[in-house]
Amino acid sequence: MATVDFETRQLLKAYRKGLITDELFEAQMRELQTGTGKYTVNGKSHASEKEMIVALLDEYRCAENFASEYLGSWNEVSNEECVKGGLRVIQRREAYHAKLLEDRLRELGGIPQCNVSSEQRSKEMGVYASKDKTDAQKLQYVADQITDLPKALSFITDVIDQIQDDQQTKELLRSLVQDEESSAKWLMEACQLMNGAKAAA
Amino acid sequence: METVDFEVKQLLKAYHKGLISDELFEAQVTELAKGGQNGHPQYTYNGQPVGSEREMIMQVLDEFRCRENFAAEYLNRWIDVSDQECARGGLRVVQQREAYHARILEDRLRELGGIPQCSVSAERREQDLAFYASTEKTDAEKLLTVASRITDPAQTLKYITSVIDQIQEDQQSKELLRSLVQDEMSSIMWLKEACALLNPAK
Repeated sequence: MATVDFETRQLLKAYRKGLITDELFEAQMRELQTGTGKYTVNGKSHASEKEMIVALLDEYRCAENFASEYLGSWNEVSNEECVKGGLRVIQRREAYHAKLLEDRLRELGGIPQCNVSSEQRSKEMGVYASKDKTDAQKLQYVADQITDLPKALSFITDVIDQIQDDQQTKELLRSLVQDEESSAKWLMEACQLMNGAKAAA
Repeated sequence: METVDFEVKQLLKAYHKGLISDELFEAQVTELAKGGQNGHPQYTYNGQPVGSEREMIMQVLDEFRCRENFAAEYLNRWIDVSDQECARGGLRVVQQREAYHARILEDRLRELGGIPQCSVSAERREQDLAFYASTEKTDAEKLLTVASRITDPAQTLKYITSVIDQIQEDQQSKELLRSLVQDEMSSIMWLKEACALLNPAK
C-alpha cells in the first residue's frame, strides 16, 4: 500500500509536469493532509475502515445495552402511564440495537470488549432507578443531555460518513440513527408534556 | 351499559315498525357511528363499532401483533437471499423492529387480559413467503413491489392511528402505539429510499 509520502511525491510529479490541474492537485493534497486512508472514531485513529467499524460497533453496542438496562429500571418505578408506554418502546429499541450491533461485530470478527465503568453505572442507575425522583425530573435529566442531538449522535454519523466499502454496516447504522432520532423526539416531547414550558426553553 | 349492537337492534326494530322516519333513523345511526350517544364515547375499529375502549385496544394489539410477527418472518427470508449489501443492512434493522413490536404488543395484549388470536391465512403466508424468499426476484424488484403497496403511509397506518385518536383512558397503550407508529414511519421511509436507490429510472 502506498505511503502518504509516496503519494505526495507522485502527485507533485504529475502536477509539475502539468498533467493535473491546480484544482485537482489542491483537492488531492487536502485529502492527503486530512488523512485519506485514516479513519477515526471519537477522535481516535484507526488504520482501516474495518477496524474503525469494529471499534464503533463495540462502543455503540455497549451504550445501547446499558441504556436498555437503566430504561428497564426506570420503567419499573415509573409512576406515569403515558411515560411508561413510551419508555417500554425505547427500552426494547435499545435492546434490539445492542443485539444487532453485537451480531454484526461478531460477523466482522470482533468480540464485545467495551464496558460501562462502575462509576458511570452507579451514577446513571442512581438517577433512573430512583423512586425519589419523578418521571418529570428524569425526563429533564435526559433532555439536558440531548439538547444538541446531531452532536450527541456524531460519534455514529461521523463513522457512517467515512464508510466506503462495508455498505451493509453503513446502512444498518444509518437505520439505527433513525431510531435514535425517534427516541430523542419522544423523550423531548414527553419532557415538555411533563415539565411544561420549562422544558421547551 | 347498552352495547352498540343492542342499540342498533333497537333502532332497527323501531325503523321496521315504521315508528321512526328514514331521516331520524339515518341520523341516529350516524350518531352511533360517531359515538355521540348519551355523551358516552363510542368506539370503532376498522369501521366496526366495538363495545369499549379496552375491547378496541385489544383488537388493534392483536391484529398489529399478528402483522408484525409475520413481517419479521418474511423479512428474515428476504435477508437470507438479499443480493445487495446496502439493502441487507436496512432490512436487518426493519426485521428486528418488527420482531420487537410483535413481542411488546403481545405483552401488552396479555397484560390487558387478552390472548393472541389473529393469524395470517395459509394462502397469504404461502404467497408472501414465496415472494420474499425468492432467489429469482432481485432486491430492487421486491422493494418496488413493497413501495407500490404503501404509496399513502398515513392510510396504511390508519387502522392504528384511528385507535390512538380514540383512546382516552389507557394512556400507556396510547403512548406505546404512538411510538410504534413512529417506528413504522421510519421503516417505510427506509423502504422508499432504498427502492429509489435501487430503481433509479422508475
